[in-house]
Amino acid sequence: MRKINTTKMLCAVAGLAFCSQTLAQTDLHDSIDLHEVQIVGKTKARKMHEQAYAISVVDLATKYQSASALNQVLNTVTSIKIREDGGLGSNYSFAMNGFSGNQVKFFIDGIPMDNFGSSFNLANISANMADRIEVYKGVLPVYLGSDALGGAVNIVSRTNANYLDATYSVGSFNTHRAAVNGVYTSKGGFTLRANAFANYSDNNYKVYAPIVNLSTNKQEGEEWVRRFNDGYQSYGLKLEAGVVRKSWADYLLFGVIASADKRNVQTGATMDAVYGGVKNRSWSLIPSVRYKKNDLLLPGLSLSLYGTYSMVNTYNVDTLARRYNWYGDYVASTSAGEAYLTDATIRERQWQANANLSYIINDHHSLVLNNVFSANRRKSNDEMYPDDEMNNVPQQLTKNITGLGYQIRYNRWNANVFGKMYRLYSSTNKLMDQFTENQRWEKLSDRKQRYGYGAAATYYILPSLQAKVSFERAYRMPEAVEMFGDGLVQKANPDLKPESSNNLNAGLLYDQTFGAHRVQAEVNYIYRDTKDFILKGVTMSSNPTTSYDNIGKVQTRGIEASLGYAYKRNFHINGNLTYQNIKDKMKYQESQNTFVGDGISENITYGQRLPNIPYFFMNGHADYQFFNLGAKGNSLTLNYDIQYIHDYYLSFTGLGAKATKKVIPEQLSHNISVGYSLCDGRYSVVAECNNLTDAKLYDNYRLQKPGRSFNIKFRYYISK
Amino acid sequence: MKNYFRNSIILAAMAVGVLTSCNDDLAAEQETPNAPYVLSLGVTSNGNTTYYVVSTDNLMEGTINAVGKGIEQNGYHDYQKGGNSIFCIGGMGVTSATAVVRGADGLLKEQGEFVFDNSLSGFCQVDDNTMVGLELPTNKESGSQLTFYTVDANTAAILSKNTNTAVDPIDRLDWPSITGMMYSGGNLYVTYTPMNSLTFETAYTDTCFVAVYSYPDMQFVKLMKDTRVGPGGSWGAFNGLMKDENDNLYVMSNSAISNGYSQSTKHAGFLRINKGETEFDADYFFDFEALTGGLKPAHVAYVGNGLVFAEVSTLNPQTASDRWGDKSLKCCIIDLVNQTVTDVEGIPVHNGNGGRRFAYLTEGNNVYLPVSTSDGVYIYRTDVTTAQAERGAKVSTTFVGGFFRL
Repeated sequence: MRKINTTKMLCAVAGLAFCSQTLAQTDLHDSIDLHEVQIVGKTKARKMHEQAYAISVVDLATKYQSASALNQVLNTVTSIKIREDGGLGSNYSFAMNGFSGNQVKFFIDGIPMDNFGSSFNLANISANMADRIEVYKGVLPVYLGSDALGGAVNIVSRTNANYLDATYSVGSFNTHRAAVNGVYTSKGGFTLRANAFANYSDNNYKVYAPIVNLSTNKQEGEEWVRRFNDGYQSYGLKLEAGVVRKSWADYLLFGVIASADKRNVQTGATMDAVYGGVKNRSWSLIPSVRYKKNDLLLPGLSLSLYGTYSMVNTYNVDTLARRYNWYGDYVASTSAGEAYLTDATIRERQWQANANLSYIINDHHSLVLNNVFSANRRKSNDEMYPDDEMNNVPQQLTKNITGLGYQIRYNRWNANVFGKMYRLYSSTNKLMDQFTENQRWEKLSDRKQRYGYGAAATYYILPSLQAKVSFERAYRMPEAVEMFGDGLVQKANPDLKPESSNNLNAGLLYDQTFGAHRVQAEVNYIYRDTKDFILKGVTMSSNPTTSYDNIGKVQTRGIEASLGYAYKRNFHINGNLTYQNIKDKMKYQESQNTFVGDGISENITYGQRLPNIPYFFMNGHADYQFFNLGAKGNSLTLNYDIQYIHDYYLSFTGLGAKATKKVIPEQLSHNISVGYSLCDGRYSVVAECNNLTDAKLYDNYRLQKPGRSFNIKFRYYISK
Repeated sequence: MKNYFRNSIILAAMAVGVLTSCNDDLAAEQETPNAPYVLSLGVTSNGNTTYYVVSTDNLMEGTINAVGKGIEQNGYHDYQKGGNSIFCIGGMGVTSATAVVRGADGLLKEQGEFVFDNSLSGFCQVDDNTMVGLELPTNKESGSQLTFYTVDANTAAILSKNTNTAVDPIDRLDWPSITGMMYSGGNLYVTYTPMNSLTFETAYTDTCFVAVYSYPDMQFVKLMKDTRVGPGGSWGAFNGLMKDENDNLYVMSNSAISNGYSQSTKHAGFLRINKGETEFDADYFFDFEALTGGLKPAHVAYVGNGLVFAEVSTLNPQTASDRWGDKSLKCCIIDLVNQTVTDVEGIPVHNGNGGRRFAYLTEGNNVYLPVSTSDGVYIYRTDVTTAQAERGAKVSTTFVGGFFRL
């Protein structure tokens, strides 16, 4: 009887949450943890790791002393590669199991970061602002509501009630990084949380680059030269204030993110193109509100909400009529714009709202319902082309993603099943009857809907050995520009389908302590079957207009393994490797509206490995700590990291004579650091050397990353 | 317990074993030294295109492919023969000229290390040793001067650069889109279409424009105009001009919507410019549309004796929805002198092949053309005297970007 009432009530509340489309936050795992108290001595990170999902969790507490940037930390996780174009602030792409770009979504405390702008990103944020990073591979829990095709990364803030953590580092290439993170909570429940960062670098590291004689146009060989137009700076502040631990709210927080960056652009697609005056900058301003209440109305029912509004402006400038070479010399050019003449402002505005409702029915069963709503608007204006009809024509996109999950949990096993509904509404303006007297802008709109589903289960074979399996049929919905084109030169494709993927993971997790020794091991098998990638049609023919099309079918089979050993708190050594076999499984290429007209043709690269994706890489780490060295509470830490990435081809793997193939060469790099901390970590200083052997490192074809660099970091930390 | 631990280790070890035994070497066929025919295979897959320059000694049998062989070239490329080299112009983010030549061992090799300021709009041979390249700013906002290069036809070395000539007067109606460049009798002739560089609208289709520049000083000489046809050539197709054995030039005008025109106001046809002259030959006009009942040629190749091998659009009439289509093409032999058109028998109606330039090879009375059919790309050999075609070798590629004898 009681159960029926409960269910009714739940439905009513769920309905309410749904209709109003009020939305936000999500803390299913918090409620799960209630049931995990019997597992003694596990950190939050470890507990997250033992979820049924294929998840890697990085416990950032160990990274605070070195104040690493989050992308550096993520780069050592299995299946993940962050590919940087250069030094601090350079463009980077995040790749996971062959997915990249907007196929992988990022969250901060469960809030999607898709539209937070380029200044508030993983390369700028230091590890010290977060408690941990959770990396979900291929299968996303319901509370992370998004259309992620290939997985997601969730950054979880530190929750200490009172602390202050300030770091500053200075190093090679005139690089300075500072961060201040802190939380103040009064006895009355008022709280103020602040995270601030500032980064600056000249990035004037040396590269081995081709030198063109500007008067003869002859390429006169390669030389070591310094980068001269690569400076970067970024600043950011994330502030939240509100109340915690009230009868009516576990927390209610009002916040704002304000950040900005400024970047000089040194190279084009490769170092063959060198620029002296290409620049871009951006700013973001993002107010937010978050609310959460456990045991709302009845025990076990909890509600969380969030809402954000993001304003992001990006400015791209390329107006010089000059041609540069790698010496920094230039000559006047007959054509303005070193790459493409532009002085553009892009304005993006986005609403996001989420509601997450979870209900713990009893010790063994729980339910979660999540809805995310986002509305996007984008406009651009290029001052160089005042006649462009596309200036200031808005494009809009509304996404609504609803997920419903059920979890069952017993001592030795637990399982989740979930369904997700993706709804998309997009609109744009299109020029109709172009080139006739009736030429006019008309509003076009379209709706799309898809259903995804999945499940995850885990079983403890032994207390120290856990088996996991998870599956999701995932979608990524098209963006407005992909569906409608730009209304002018980019053509619309009303038949565009969402990208879809079947993602399967199976793994074994082992963790055993033998007295002072602890061994941890993990092996995962990864299977992805992905099709209908949304790609821009090829633009090389006698046709300058293109559309986005669904292209390709790719199968990924991979394995990732990691092994770690620890002796007391003093010594840790671990390593991991990832191998992913990403194969082109498209037999026939269908072309519509492309340069070959309509038709079906044989896909020449069927069965071959996809090019330009790292497929085999390893990371290793060792550290040793001397406690109470010098004085009680002081410690000395030695760290060593090694990274290996197997070489891979830029273009189709099976075609072309080997000697002429373009290769992204093998990378082997070593980082070392030594740190000393006093007074139980209150003060610490770390000296670090990255790329110890000064190896020539490339993540992308002919885009060289920094050589050997040194830096020294200072940290002050107090906590109550 | 220990067993499980050991099992995990074994699993990990197995994983390492599997990994280290993997590599990407596919069985490569050896190239035959001195194989006379050279093709650039443009392979498009998963949204990327890469070119592979391969050679073969047999165009009529077997399969031509780039499996484990061929010179890889990345980024967009245009191909043109000059002297004893094949010029490969393009690259990733920069436009460089690479020459593919035959090495002492009879195999193809790549040479050259010259970089153009921007991207070339025109490129043609002026004598045995010299090529001329023309660069035009992308749009009116970015610049107002032309750049002419002279390039060594054998080494791909840039010999000189001239930026003294203004784009004016060819930009007075709209920004010019260069459709062809040829040298004849001391002058460089350039055909173009006035085209809005943002919307690609072609509002000026009543006149054929040919700009004449002197060589070697690259001075503007004259803007020739003729209203019997619309503009010469079409966007990005390099199909505006052809040269016969006596250095007379023929202008092909198609005003074809399927080749990028936003409107068509004149019949497709041919005009003639006699060697070195700066007037159109008033006595010569070939109204192609009148003869064929409304058809428009898309791609043309001068073969010899006044004969042209052409791909002609079968879309009749062409409408706005056919724009940029370049499809449903049939092959024809066009006799410029006698003004006749003969359909080639044996080649199916097909779509344009994607490379910007018309990739074909002439050898005696034969024209070899790669055609994209429902079974893949095949080379068809056409005897221009009989207009009979025969299907030859299969080409494992998405399109053929260049086709030469070296």
